Amino acid sequence: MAVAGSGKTTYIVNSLSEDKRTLIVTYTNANYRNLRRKISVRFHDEWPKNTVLMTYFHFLYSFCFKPFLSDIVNAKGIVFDRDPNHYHNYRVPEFYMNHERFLYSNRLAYLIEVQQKTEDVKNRLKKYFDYFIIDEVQDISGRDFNFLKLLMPTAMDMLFVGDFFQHTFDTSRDGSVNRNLFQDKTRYESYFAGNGFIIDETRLSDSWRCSKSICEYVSSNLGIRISSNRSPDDNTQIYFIEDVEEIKRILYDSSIIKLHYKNGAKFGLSHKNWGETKGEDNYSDICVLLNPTTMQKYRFGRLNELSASTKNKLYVALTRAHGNVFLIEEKVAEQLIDSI
Amino acid sequence: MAVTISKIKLINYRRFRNYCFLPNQGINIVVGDNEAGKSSILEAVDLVASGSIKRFESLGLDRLMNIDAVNEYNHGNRNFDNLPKILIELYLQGDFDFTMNGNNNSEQRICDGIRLVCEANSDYQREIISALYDNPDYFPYEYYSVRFSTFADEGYSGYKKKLKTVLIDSTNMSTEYTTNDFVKRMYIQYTENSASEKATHKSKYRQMRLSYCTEALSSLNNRVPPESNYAFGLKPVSDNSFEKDIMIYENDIAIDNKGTGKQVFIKTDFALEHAGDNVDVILIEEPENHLSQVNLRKLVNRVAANQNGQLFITTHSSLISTRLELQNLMIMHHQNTNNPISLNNVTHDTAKYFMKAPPANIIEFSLSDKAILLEGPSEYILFEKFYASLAGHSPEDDNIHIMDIRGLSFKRFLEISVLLGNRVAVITDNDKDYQKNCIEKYRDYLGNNQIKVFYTRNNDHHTYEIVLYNENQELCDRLFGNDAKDYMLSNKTEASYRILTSEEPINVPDYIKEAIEWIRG
Repeated sequence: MAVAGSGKTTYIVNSLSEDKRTLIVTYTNANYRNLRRKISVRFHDEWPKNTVLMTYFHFLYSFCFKPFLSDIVNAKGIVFDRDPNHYHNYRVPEFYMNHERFLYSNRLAYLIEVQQKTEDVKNRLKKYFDYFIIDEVQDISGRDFNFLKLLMPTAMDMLFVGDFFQHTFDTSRDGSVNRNLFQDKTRYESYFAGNGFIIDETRLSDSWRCSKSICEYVSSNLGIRISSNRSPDDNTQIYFIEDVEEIKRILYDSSIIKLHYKNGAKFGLSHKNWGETKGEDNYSDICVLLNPTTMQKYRFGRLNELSASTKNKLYVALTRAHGNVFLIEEKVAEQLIDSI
Repeated sequence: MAVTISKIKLINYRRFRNYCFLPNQGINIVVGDNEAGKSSILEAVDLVASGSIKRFESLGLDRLMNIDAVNEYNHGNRNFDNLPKILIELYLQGDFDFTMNGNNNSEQRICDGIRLVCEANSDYQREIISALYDNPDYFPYEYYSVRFSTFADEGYSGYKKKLKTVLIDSTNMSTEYTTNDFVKRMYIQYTENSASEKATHKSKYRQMRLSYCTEALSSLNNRVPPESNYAFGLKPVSDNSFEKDIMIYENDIAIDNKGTGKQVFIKTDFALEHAGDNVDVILIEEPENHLSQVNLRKLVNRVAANQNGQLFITTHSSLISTRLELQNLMIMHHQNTNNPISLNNVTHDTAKYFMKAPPANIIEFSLSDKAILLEGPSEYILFEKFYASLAGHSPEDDNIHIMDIRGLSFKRFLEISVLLGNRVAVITDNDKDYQKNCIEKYRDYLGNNQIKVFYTRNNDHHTYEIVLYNENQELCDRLFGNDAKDYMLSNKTEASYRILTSEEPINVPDYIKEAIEWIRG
């Protein structure tokens, strides 16, 4: 179990060896690119033989589904549909795919389970790999988490790395399946411990990226425990900015990324959404815009009361900074951007 | 580790409805008559390995799709799901990664392999259904599409070859295309692991042409008036110029300057040189076509000495098949529609028998649609005369093969015949007990209407000579004197020969007559 900026990727990359046939699965495209780059660098710009890197849905579709179900199911691909029809019976094809024969991403894992191909998948993992790594494991939820639980007993070395509070993606959600998975960290961890995993909370508990004060701020205001590896001399700060000229300066400065609650992309290149930056590690100073709900909690010092999904995204945003964090009220900032 | 093919499956491809070929890991000699589909097997292997949609299309879907499958479809329930598809599957053995392994094959078995699938494109389902409805004879060839994938259902193409094959096709050897294609393939296979080497070759080739223009052509271009904008040069380099220009030499002579026969030899030799290394599977089509006996023997010795790689050779030549050991023989017969016969399919004793017997026998027998098995040379000598006196022409004209099987090994041949499905008449003596020697002995084949045993029921007429004498008493007495019957029994072949050369009309014994009528059927 890791915290933001604690060197998860470095830890994974350092655990690789060319003698060990390794499969690495990661959830987001951003992290896929990040891992790809860092692995190449570690092996002197040459991709290590015996190492395979995939995104989660590539793993699910090409590694688990296609080899055993392509001819039987005859699907054309995956579709990331937010809310596919719940009313079909799980035995009919319509439950799993749309009229164009694209599979619903959030039910694909369940389809493999229902078709009784889990054992085949486990044998396939074991046959071709010695070591199975999942990064960003906290993003595997819904029916995918059930599937993951079925894979856990496979007789091989496994390393799952994740940050419980960075759970921000809901591509896997399907109705009430595992809805409360992220309510309780202890219970979440027990699913892994129950399958023979050793829970390591210390190795990646300190952030190399965030300074002492930022870690303290997150710990005391969001209630998410994170500490810093950086020396007290190397400190940065969180500032709330109200001065209009100062806000303008920050908005103009394209080297400072502006992180919105949502719809960041419409403001241009140096704007993104909070959760979108997960896995990214190349920002110095950052600017976090507080949406009305968050703003209100902020004023009363009750950020810990935010809903879990908002709080997690804010956590991701705040912990992107190597340098300082500037907080600005979203309403003020967006009005200024419009006037510019 | 080299890759070998452990099974070839062809479904609705050319003449095969559902064909399964289990090749040997080393040499496979594919024999069969002209319509048996020997070349189709080689073509199918090469096609699947190529991963080339263009090649598939150039062969023409309407020729590749089995015509019976099309007719059956058009006379049956013409809905979308029933549309036949072409499947060619190569089950492979080798050291593969996970992208080759899965159950997307006709057996739904988890294993390594690659396949070609050609089926109606479901994107056009509506158009296809309405076209089928409009015209009862229509078949929607133009809505079919082809794809290549592994058994894990990962697509592949010529750029990501899973199986390296070389086809040496001597049937159209003389064309410039086949030599170019061969040279290009060998070049690609030699440089497969080094994209940078290939790039260097191409770039140096380009530079060489450029420097030729600036150096060798400079004085020529100096004579072109400077105020005009014209200059001489070489034709522009296209992407495949280099591959078109490259050639293989033997002792400084380009192989395309050699005779067709010699080319077959060189290509085979060159391919074998790197078998198991740069080449997994070598496909050789009828090498006897352009080779002298001497060169053919050399080639066969070269193949026999080869230890690596998997070989498929189609042939009509018994020289090839006999030199390369009978276990390697794969017999394709157009009566037998499901799989070729190899000696691995027959009982151990029968396999041993054919290993010891003259090798031509099994090949001749296997290639014939209809055969008559005789017990000895004396029957054989007169048989054509019997046949002609009934039919008015020779058995060859009816494609009937007459074989003299010494040592009463009929049952060995019948075992093969059950596998092949050819029509076989056995003509035998009753040896004084027809019940035992002619009925019970062949009890196993009673239910088989392609096999029939002919004999006489008169136990006194226990051998052929006695029957022959009784039917032609006057002629025999005239030819052989008073003790004609005894003479015939102790000089069997000589007697037969003298009857034949007498050119007298002859009465055909009844059971032989029946046999001839039955086989002509």
